[in-house]
Amino acid sequence: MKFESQLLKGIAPVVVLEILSRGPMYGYELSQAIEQRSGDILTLGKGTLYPLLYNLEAKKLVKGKWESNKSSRKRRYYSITSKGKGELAKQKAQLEKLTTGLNLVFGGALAPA
Amino acid sequence: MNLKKLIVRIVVAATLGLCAGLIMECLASWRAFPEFLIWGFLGGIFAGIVIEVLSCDYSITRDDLRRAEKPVIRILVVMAIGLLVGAVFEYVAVGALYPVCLILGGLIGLFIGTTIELIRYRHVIGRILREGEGLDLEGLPVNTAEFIRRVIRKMRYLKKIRSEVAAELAAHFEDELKDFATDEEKEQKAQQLIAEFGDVKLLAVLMRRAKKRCRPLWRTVVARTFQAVGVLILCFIVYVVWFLTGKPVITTDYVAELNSMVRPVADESLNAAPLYLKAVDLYKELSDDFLLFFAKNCLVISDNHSYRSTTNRITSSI
Repeated sequence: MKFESQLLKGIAPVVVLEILSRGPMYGYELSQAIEQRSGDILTLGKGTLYPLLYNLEAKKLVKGKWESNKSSRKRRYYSITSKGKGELAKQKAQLEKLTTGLNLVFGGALAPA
Repeated sequence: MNLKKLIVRIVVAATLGLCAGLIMECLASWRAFPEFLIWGFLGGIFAGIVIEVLSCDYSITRDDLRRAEKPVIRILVVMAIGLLVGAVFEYVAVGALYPVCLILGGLIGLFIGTTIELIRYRHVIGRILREGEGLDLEGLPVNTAEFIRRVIRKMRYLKKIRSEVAAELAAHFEDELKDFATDEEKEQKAQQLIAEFGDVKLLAVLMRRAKKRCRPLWRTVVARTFQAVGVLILCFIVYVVWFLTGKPVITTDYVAELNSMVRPVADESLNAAPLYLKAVDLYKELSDDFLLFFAKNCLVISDNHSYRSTTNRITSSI
């Protein structure tokens, strides 16, 4: 099931920061990683991905660096900054609280089986 | 030749000309007249265009110029029309030709001609230059290359940034399409991807906004400064037009105000006239006995002529 909605837009920065915390990636690689690691549940729209990355870059949560490859085009690799790591930790804590709250509301129905 | 740089340089020169005109006029008469400011402004624009023409990188070939339909000739034609209109206007108005008006007409013509040319530049020369923008879109399907061109064109931002975005998008499409063997399959998949990217204009706007947020503070300050200067120039032009076309209307009678200020103000409580009138009403004829008593006891005979004459009058009346 594809999960594309306003809800995803809200958590998209956290998802991107979480993926980038595991290593630098370029745009295409990042979008593939999000789909793979979420079991194809989360899909970040292509038109959302790049503006989101530029916004995160403007906030200095990620930084981009061009790297050339002899076999293909040069690519812009994004990596998480120390500020981004701090923001990620904060957002994750908030998400955990939200999940706990939702579980209580739904009587544990949201907990993974 | 960068259109944005060209406009910025012309605006800077016009602002400098405006300031120079203002300073010269203030130094000469300690007052600023709009005519001189306009002269300074127009002179600045003219100087800016001359500087721009002299300093720009004429990497455009003769063929390119031919494709651009000879902009210099068109500017000269509009300038000549301005000159002619200035001359006719002046001749009709005062029956004579003054070089100042001719120069002014020519300058206005030059200004209008250059403005028109700059607008055309966006469509004609801009397109020519865009063809050699240095975008590396080779190996991509036609629809993909066109999509990337449209996105960066609609971004309307710095060329360097647009090139970076184009390179990033090109790399993304290339990665997405690398598993497809035939051109037809690539085209179909590319079409699907383009649809996934959504509206080109919205994408370009989002990218421009995000990239603008990335720029350093000094660039933002410079950009805002130029915008403020532009707004000030616009306000000044509006003010000059209002000033030159307006007619004086007397709303305050300053003579009456000054007269009222110097006119003596009398306190009514200090006015003695009512008391005098009251005294006249209360006046009664004095009796002969009183007058005799007064003449004998109150009037002192002195050397003063007035006293003596008064005494004489009283006694004679008795």
